[in-house]
Amino acid sequence: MMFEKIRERLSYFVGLLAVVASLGLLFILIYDIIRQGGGALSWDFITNFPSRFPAQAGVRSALFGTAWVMIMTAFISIPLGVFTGIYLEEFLSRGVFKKFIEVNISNLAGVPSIVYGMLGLAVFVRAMALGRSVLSGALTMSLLILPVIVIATVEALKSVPTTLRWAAFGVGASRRQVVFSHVLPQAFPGICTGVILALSRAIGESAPLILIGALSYVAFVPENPMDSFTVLAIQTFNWASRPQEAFHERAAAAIIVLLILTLAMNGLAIYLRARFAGRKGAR
Amino acid sequence: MQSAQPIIITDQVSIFYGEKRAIENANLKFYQNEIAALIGPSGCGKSTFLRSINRMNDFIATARTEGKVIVEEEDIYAASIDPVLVRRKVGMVFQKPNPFPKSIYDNVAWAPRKTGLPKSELNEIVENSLKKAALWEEVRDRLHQSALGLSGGQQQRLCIARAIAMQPKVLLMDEPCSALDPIATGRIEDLMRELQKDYTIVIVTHNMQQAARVSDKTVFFLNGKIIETGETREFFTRPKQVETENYITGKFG
Amino acid sequence: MGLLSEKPQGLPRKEAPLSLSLRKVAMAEKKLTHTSLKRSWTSPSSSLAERSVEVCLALASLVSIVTTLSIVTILLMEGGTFFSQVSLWDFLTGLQWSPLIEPKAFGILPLVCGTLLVGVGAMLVAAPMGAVTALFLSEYTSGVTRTVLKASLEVLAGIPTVVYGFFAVTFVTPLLKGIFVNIEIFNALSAAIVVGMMTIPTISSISQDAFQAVPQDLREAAYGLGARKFQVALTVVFPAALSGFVASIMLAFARAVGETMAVTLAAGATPRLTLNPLESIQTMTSYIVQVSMGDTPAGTVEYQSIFAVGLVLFLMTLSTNMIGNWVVSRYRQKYI
Repeated sequence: MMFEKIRERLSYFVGLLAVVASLGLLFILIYDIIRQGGGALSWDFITNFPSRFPAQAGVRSALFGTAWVMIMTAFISIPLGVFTGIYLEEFLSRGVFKKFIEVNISNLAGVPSIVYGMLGLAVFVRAMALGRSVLSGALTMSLLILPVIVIATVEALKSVPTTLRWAAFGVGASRRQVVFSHVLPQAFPGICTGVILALSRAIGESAPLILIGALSYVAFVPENPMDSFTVLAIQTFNWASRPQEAFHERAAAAIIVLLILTLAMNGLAIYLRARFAGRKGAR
Repeated sequence: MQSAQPIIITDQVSIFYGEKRAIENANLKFYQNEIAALIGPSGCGKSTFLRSINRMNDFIATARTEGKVIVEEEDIYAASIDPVLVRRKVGMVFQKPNPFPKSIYDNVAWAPRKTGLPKSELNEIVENSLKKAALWEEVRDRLHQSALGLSGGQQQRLCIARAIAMQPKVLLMDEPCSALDPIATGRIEDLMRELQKDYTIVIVTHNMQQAARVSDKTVFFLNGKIIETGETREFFTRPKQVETENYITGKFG
Repeated sequence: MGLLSEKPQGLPRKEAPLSLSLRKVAMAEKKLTHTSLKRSWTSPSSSLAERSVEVCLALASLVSIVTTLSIVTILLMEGGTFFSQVSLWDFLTGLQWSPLIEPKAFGILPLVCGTLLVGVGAMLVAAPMGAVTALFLSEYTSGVTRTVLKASLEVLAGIPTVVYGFFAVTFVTPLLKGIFVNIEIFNALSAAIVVGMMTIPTISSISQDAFQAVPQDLREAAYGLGARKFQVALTVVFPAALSGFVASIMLAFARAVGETMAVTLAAGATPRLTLNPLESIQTMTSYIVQVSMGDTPAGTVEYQSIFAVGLVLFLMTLSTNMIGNWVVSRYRQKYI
């Protein structure tokens, strides 16, 4: 009896320890990054181009490249993903075709990001002759996060109560009107959250962009969608793979910038989710 | 009370959920400006039957309807018929009030607005509908506030206003008072008698006293079949079938 | 009978209105009064607006199908060209991988071995941690605590993989060097640890859903027999949701196999058939990165080799994911 009680207490602490350890690893990671990179963070760091000399290397080109790619990716992937989600959930009734698309989307969600890079290389860079441009990068990233946006949209639409749809149909609305005037506005916060999370994933991806030829040493800012570019994640990778300690510090500083962006987006998504969770109708 | 031609005729209507038959060979006639009550124990299919009149069963994946439902001389299940138009002619009020999460004004105005009416007429339609639903006086000063802030009874009257804003010929009501308190229920029953002047009303109710108070004609459903239909007073004082008598005297259900 | 009150009289329709505004309403109402219910170009369900919107949405959905087809086509096409020059048998059974350096050898087993070393290693880290945290969150916490802890764990999954690679190189490897003195600078263990870290949330989240889906009656039956919470958790809840847990491991494993940047930074670029995690190896993913960072022209067998490797990678992750997803959907049906 006594032995059991001890095991009970022990189990609780083991469980707690596992959670704490996981979170602890996270904190160690963040602490170590800040330790290494905090010193290198400065206004110059943000505004300088990369350089052979670590002390002068900066993330300007990477930041602009990231911004270009992210904005274009958003413009392409959000309509595609949301429309696909709407079609799946609101216009297709339970059937073979719907199941087929659903399985397809869930498989695409599990395809490694590097395979998307190979797709982008073969189709956008080579076959469509778009070259190693921002456009190729954006198209590739859009395909990568498309399944995430579709799944988030479908979940958001599913959470809208059926009674709302019935009320709108009952008043003689067509399906298009029911979806766009009633269901979509209700699902909007959920879709926003999903989109932001998808984009925050895209910001951290580097493998697909390396495949399509985003360069590692870019000392200029892209001026149109056909320019070559680099992104923050690749710049980080580049500095991290160099042996010199000084470049490691630069990498750490770039990671801090990257993490701030990623965590800000995640935080925004969580805030949106919490803010609108209560708003879903008074009943 | 009767005009010569019934406004709704159901002809050998059977409704299935997959393999299970929920309604069997329903043959009924509803006349203009009549209030008809559909009564019966739970699960007897009366709501399913009601929903077949405005093709709301289309949204239940396993539901299948056989037979004809003729509204103003058109079979609404014919392939050439647009179900959206059917629902504009045959309006519906649901069991649990379900106003749109929009303002009171927008709830009533949304559907007419979609048929392209100019703004000035829209205002009048909203006012008119809310007056007919006996809600105008209570909400005239807060038309642009959210409909979700109204009480249950007010929300249901708003749903009635919303339905009649589209000028339907028929109003279907699926247990409209079951989620409301007795006072709100009474107000809606009074409302129904007023609405009868303009619309034909078919109401599903599990409350026999309500059927007796409010309707001109009563239909008794049991296990998907229509056991008896008749003029309400006759129906409740001299029922013709044994099952009917058992039901209305409370022997089951 | 006392059931009846005054029977209402039906009344004829309203008289024509007199005042101007009432007349306007009547005219408006006439506009709304429908006559025929028949479909036409203007009727709502078949109108141009309705149809074109539906077509637009359907086209968007086709993009996902086209994407899958394209991936498969590309991999098969370029991979096919590769296999016209390198025999499939050599590829699948060869023990040497050096496509860029003479003498050229195209046996994929070293890459697969590297990938599995990291993948399985990552699971050895993530599975216990994930299982314990999932059980803890599901059985010992509730409400706000649970939501907060779960969200915090999710942050682990949101961190970009380059960051994990960097962490492996600058923190984990030096730490390991203190324990295993003759560990190489690039090694599989370091990569396995960080990839494990990043997949803990996957296992934890899906397993937690599985544990929470176990019906309360099962627990209550055990409590009724006098069992303690940890006994219930280990002997009732865990086995009941075992399939969900296994599925979560499969999905996490697929993620670990597809992981690129962390292993590229930490594990090295030495294709090697070895079970020693202290050595430098190369995974399928880091090989693909290595080649594309170099100057390999299109049309060469080296270029095509990345598609052949990609094909193997794709098939591995696809099959693991499909099985994992199928199991998850099955147990979801069982309890929901």
